[in-house]
Amino acid sequence: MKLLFLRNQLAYVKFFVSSASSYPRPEWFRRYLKRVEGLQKDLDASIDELELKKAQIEVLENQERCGVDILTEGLLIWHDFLATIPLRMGFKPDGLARYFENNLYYRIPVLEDERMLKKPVLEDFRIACKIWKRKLPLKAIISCLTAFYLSKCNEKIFPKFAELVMQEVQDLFKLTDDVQLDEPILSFNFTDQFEAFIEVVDSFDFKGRLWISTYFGDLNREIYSKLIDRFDVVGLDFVEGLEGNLDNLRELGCKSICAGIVDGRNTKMENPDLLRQKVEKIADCGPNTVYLSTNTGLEFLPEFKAYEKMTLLSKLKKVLK
Amino acid sequence: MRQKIRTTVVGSYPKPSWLKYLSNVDEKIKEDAFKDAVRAVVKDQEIAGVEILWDGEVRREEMTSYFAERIGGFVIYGEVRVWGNTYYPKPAIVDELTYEKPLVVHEFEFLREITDREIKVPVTGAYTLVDWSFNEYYTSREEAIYALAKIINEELKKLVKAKASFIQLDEPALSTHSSADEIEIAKNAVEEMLRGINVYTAIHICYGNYERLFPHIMEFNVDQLDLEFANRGFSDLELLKEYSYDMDLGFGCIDVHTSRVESVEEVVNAIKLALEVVEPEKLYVDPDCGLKLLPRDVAFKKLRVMCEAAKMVRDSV
Repeated sequence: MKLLFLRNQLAYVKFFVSSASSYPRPEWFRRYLKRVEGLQKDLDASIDELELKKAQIEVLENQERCGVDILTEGLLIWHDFLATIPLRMGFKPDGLARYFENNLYYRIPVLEDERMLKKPVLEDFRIACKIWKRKLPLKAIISCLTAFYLSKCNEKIFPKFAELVMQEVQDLFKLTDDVQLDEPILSFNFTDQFEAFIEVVDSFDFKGRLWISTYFGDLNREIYSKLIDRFDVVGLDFVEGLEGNLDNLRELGCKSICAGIVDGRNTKMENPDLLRQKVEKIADCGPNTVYLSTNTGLEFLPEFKAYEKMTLLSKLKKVLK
Repeated sequence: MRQKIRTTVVGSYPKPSWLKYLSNVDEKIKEDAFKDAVRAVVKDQEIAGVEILWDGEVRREEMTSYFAERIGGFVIYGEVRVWGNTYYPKPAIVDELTYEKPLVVHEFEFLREITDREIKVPVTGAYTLVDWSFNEYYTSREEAIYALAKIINEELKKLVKAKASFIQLDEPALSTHSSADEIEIAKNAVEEMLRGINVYTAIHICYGNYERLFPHIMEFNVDQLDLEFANRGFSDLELLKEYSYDMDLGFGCIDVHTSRVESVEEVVNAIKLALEVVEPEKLYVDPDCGLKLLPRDVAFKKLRVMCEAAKMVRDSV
């Protein structure tokens, strides 16, 4: 009876495959960037738009070939993970640090003069929108809370910072139906500025699907309850936060989930049967839509492994359907 | 009586350019080229005034993959980004880890033949090796770390037998993990790696959040902590003051991620800040980290400035 119930639950859920955020840079593009920008702290040189477009097309076509339904342009010139956002808001890079147990150095953005604060512009996403004429949707990635956490500035400017980020979100909705706020810091019970963040999000009337992606762990119940009320899609980590996030889902539900069920930080390929069982537990909690995804962006993997992992997800989607 | 304010390096140095052209040459020529490269790098350090040397890691392509290629149970799938536009061939543990062949003792033995100066041998520690690898075999990172620590210990015993007197464990991954459990695992791994090792030891940790390490890091079974300070404007010295730091200190006073060559005055001022934390006899001055990403002439100038500044302060205390 339980098996029949589960099968019935799956039948009520719409499944899609979504890219999480980042994608490994094509090898030729890495060589190009090294040549143009060098290796050291003096990055962000002027990149030839044509080269960027070629790289974006390749990454988008790879995702399309894997069977991905919701694509990203791969964050191919984001050297500093989510700290890239404040670096586009008038912050200057200063010093290096590693975060989130990634073996990746990020430059620390510092705001020397508050008058320099400006709206971030995802010019690379706009370029991708111009060249991607396919029918598959392109999701924009941005960050607010985590971007602020990774920066050094007066905490009091957070409302203004958040307002500027949300203005860009609003502008991005003129180009796409899907914009995702990457907020892994929420998985660390980071509540500084959380209420102010919610307030700013609520003050905007966005015309599109606003996603929030959390990863590197699970969410505490209170944070989770506030996210499901106001975001169209909530991204949860079912690799590093499996039990906690399943509990959240069982208790409070969620209409649309981006389920990070495949590990984006390890090359070990998941067992398809175990993945299916994981999805069945998620479906059992009653969502309408589940976007199957890796728990993190894919920049932590060699390129061919990233491709294999996304292909695994699209094969899983076919089995579930 | 102990010497005051000694100068040293962390490990890597820019490789002589001829090493790029070795892909189609026979092994004898390759080995001769490496030896000549070590001689050149050592000469640079000696001229700059460095007292405690290493061979610039000229045989090592990268601090993780070098060891993974020599230890059974690892494979390397491909490159991943480590920062900016720098990539490294990230290993994956796919089988039980086993000691297969010497890791660094041959590097030490050659260096010992060509210099009279004191030698520090950097060895990537088990904690970082596992943290910077994919793990497809062991059920937990902890299990993999302890397995690897035994292998490293085997190599360190060979080094001591070959008369190495100063060993540095490179553990940059330590400062990126926040939990007390992780510090405990790292501490146990260091114990295992240094079991039966009775020479001077240091642990090098860089580019993370040092607040996570203190005070527990001061209980690690090593003589010296080698930390980077120039990267963040020496603000982390306040942390050492807060915890009444009492070990020997490897003081990273040269920024290795910018081509700007510091002035002697800047470095003198930095060393004086370090002397507010430790006595001159406990201070070892070095760059923040390895120098290999810098142009060779810049790396040399930075080392020379560092040694000149160390001498000026030493003569005045």
